[in-house]
Amino acid sequence: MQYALRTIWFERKRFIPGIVAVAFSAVLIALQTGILLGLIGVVSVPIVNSKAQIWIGYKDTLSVDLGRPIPTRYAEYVWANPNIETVNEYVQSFTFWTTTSGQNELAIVMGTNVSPESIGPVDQLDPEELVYLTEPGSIVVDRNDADRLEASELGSTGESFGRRLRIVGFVPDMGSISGPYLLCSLSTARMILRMPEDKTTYLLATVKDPTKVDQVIDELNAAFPDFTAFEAERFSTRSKMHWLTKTKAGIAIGFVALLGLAVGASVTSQTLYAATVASIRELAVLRALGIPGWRISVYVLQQAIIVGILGLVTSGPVAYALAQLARRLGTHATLPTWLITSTIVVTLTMSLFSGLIALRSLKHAEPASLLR
Amino acid sequence: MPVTIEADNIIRGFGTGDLRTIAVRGVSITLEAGQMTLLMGPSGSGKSTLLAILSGLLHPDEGRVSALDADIWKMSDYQREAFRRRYCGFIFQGYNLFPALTAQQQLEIVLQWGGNVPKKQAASMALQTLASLDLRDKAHLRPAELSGGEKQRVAVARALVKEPSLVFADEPTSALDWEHGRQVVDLLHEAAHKRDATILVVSHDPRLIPLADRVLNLEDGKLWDGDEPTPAI
Ligand SMILES: Nc1ncnc2c1ncn2[C@@H]1O[C@H](COP(=O)(O)OP(=O)(O)OP(=O)(O)O)[C@@H](O)[C@H]1O
Ligand SMILES: [Mg+2]
Repeated sequence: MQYALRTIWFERKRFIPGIVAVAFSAVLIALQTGILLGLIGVVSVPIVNSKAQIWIGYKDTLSVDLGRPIPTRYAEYVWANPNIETVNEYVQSFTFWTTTSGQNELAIVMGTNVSPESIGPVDQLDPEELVYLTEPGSIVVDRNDADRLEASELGSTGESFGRRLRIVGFVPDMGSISGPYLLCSLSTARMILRMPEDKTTYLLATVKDPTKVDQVIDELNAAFPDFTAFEAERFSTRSKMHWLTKTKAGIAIGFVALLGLAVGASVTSQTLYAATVASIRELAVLRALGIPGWRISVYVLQQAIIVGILGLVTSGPVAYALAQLARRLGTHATLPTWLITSTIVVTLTMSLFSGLIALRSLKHAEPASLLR
Repeated sequence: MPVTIEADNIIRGFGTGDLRTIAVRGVSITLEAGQMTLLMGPSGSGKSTLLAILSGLLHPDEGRVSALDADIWKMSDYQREAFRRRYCGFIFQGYNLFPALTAQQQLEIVLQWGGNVPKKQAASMALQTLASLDLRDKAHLRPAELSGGEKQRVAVARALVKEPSLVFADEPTSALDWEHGRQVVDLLHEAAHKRDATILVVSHDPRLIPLADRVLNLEDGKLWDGDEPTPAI
C-alpha cells in the first residue's frame, strides 16, 4: 500500500481529476437521494411530530396523507385494551387556503388534540401556542410557508371553504410537499372540513409499557379487521415508500445515481490509466526483474481504492455544505446512516471498478519493449 | 570459471513474408561466472534481440538457451518469470526510476514485491547495495534530485540488490557522458568479480572494450569472436 500512497502523494496533481470525480459521484448520489428523501419525508411530518406510538386508520391506509374517515366511537374499543395509556382523535385532510388576494393554495389540515396532554403532532408548539389554538379558527403554520399563504405575520388571515382562519403562531420546521400544513384544534379542523364529531381520520394511541407496542397492535388488528393499526415508525416508512413508488421518484433517482457513477467511473479510470501509462517503463523493469503481473495489478487497484477514499473524504464537507444550502432554500436533505453507508460502498466499488478498467494499461508493461 | 549461460544456434526473426527481417542468425555463445562480457556491434546488428533471448525476455524462433543448467525456453511463462525473479538483474537504457520513490525505495520495492522480504531487511539490503555503489548519501533522494550518473547508478543498484547470478545491461551508458559511463561499467565489472556474477553488457561504444573481460562482436545477426578468423568477404 505504501508505494501506491507515495505515488499518489507525489503526483497528486495527476490524481486530482480522479479524486474530484469520485467526490462528484458521492455528493451527487448522497445529496440527490437525501433531498428526495427529505421531500418525501415531509409526508410523515404528522407522525414525526407526535408522541403517538400507534396510528389507527382506515383498513390498509397507504400513506398518512391518504387517510379516510373512521368512526370516532372506535376509540372506546381501543381504550378497552388494558395496555393502552391514551387515545387521541386526529383529523387530517386536504383543503384549500384562499389568500387575502383571492389565490387558492392546496393545503393540509392537521386537526389535533391541543390540550397539554396531547399526543398529536404538536411537538413543535410551545404551551402558549397550544392555548391559542383552542380558540376556533386559529391555526399555526410553518414559517417557510408564510409567503405562500400571504400570511407573514401573527394575526394574518385567510379562508378555507368560506371559514375565516387566523394565524396564531409559526413553527420553524414542519416542511411541505404538496401543500402547506395548517395545524389546528380538532374542532377547527372539523369546522373547515365539515366533518361530524362521530368521524375522525385517525386514532392515535400510546401504550403504558413501550415494549408491548407490537403486541397491542397485533391485538387491535386481530380484533378489528375493518381498521388497521400501525406502529408509528413503520407507518412513516410506509407513507414514504408509497410516495417514492407512486411518483416514480425512485426511478429518477436511480438514473441520476447511475449517471453520477458513469461520469465518476470514466474520469477515475482515465486518471488511473494515465498514471499507470506514465510509469509503464518502470513497471516493465519490475516485470523484467520477475515481479509477477498480479503484484503490479494490486498496486493499480490500491491506487484506485486510495483515490476512492480521498474522493469520499473530499465529498464529506462538500455534501454537508450543500445540505446546509438546501436547507436555506427551504428543502431538507436527509442523510441517514444507511444512505451514507451505501454511498460509501457504491462509490468505493466504482473506484475499484475504475481500477479494474485501468488494468488494461498494464499490457504495455512489456519488458522486451525496454530493449532497443 | 563455470559456464552459466550456454546458447546454441539461436535464430530470431521479426515480421512475415517480404517484411521479414532476421535479427539473429544462428548464434552460439557461452558466458562464464565472474566475467563481464561486452557485446558490441553496429546498430541493428541484433544485440538487444540476443540479450532479450539470453535473459528470458524474448522467445527465440530456434535454438536453445541453458542458463544455470536450466533450459529457460522450455519453461512455462510462470517458471521463467520465477527464474528471472530469482537469478536475473536488468539495466536498461534510460534510468526507468519511479519519480515518486527515493533511491532506497526503488530498491526496496524490488525486494518487497519480488521476494516478500520484510521491510526492515529490505531497507538494510537496499542501503548496503547503495553504499557499495557510493550512493549512501543519496538514499533518501528522488530521481529528480539526482544527477544522470547517480540515477544510472541507482538503476545498477536496483539490478544488483537481490544479488543476482546473471546481470544483463542494454546500453547502460548511452545516456551518460564518458566519465560517468565508465564509472557505471567499472561498477558492473567489479560486481562480476566480487559476486561471481555473469554480466553481459551490450554497447556500441568501443571505449568500453578495455574494461571488459571478454568482447563479442555481432554483425548482421552473426557472431564473430576475436579468436575466430574474420569471415572472408
Ligand atoms: N519488435 C521488433 N519488430 C520488428 N523488427 C524488430 C523488432 N526488434 C528488432 N527488430 C529488428 O531486428 C534487427 C535487430 O534489432 P536490435 O534491436 O536487436 O539491434 P541492436 O543491435 O540492438 O541495435 P542498436 O544498437 O541500434 O540498439 C533490426 O533490424 C530491427 O529493426
Ligand atoms: Mg539495441
